[in-house]
Amino acid sequence: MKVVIVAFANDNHTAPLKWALEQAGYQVACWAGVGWKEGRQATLSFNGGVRMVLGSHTVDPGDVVWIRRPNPPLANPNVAAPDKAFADEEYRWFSLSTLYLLEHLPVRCINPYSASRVINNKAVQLYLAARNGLNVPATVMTNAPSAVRDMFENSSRRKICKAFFPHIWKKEGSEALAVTETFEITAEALPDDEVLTYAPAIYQEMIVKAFDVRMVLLGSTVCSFSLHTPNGALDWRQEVGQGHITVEEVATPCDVEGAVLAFSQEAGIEFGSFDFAVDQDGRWWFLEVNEEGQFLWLDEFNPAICMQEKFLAFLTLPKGASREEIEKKQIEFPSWKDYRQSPQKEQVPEEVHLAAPILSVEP
Amino acid sequence: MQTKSKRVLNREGARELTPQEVENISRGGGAHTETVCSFDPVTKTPDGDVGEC
Repeated sequence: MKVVIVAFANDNHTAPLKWALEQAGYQVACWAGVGWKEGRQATLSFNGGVRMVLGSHTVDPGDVVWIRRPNPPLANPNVAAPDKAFADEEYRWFSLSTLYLLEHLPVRCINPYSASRVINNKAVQLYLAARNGLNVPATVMTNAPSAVRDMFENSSRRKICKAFFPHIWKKEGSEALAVTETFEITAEALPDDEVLTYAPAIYQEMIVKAFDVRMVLLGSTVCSFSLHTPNGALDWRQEVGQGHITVEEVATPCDVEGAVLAFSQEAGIEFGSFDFAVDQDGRWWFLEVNEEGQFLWLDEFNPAICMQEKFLAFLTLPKGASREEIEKKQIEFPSWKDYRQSPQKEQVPEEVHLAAPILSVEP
Repeated sequence: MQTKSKRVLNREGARELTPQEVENISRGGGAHTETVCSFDPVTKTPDGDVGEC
């Protein structure tokens, strides 16, 4: 059995986890997604059975495939200009064919690509979360001004606004960048109706938090961590970036754990990072899940958590491993701290990312 | 009379990145092996969360 990681080898989670797996004796293959260069080429052969080659690696029965961060297909820039649109589309369809086929092979996919595509939709997340018994804040997703104003008129609770997908703006002629972030908004601050149609948005009743929780789903096991910021920030990501956060393991209420596992089963995912807000009454509110979510930063802030080791135990154990099995196996793997202190981390190969950034330049 | 902004609402709530975060991005988005939490605008993953931590 080998572990195939669909991501650049120098991705910030792939590099340490590949190193740790190899230290423990596992074979690891990285492939960043379909591209025209040799290392990103792929071949699907059908001749009675099927054979998949990703870069220089064959996908074999029994392999574990972690679809960590597949990159957009990258066509050869030397293609003739009149053929570029055709080539781009062919690359796109071939990429999708490859990723969707993976879950039908006799391998374990974390997560199946089809499940990833579906659960990345925030509307699907909220629907499945509520349906499976999680508390979900009242939410309106809309580009209809009347629906926005109705929400603000019909509830006196505080509201937040957030985007469906992050975006970064760069000031022209400057290094200054701004990123979308959840923010509080009042009825008085709403813009003209026309502006509300410029981009759909997510409007949600604000949960006045006692603290945040980041939960990591590992198959049938959940690991929850409280996140405390000095100023009780609405969005803790900024505080993480600046090192102003306290991370502690926290017990998951039984009803929340059961609901998350039911949610995950219905969504078809084995792994994901869930965000919850815990209110002053101790009630857990589901905010969102990211099935590609990052988790090594938890070890950075609290090395006793051992998320790197837990994740690798989960990855290399058969599907459905219990918490006890994960905790028993995790001692086979070195920690994030070990990686940080390892000279090997300096030897991660350079891989050029040629895709354009999700970036707008503004005056 | 104050002229109301014509920018999308989420731009109004966008946060300026810190110099450290800007540096992370300028070094290549996902191509970090030293930072465990980063914005990742360069890889342009269609379904990924580039602001995810």
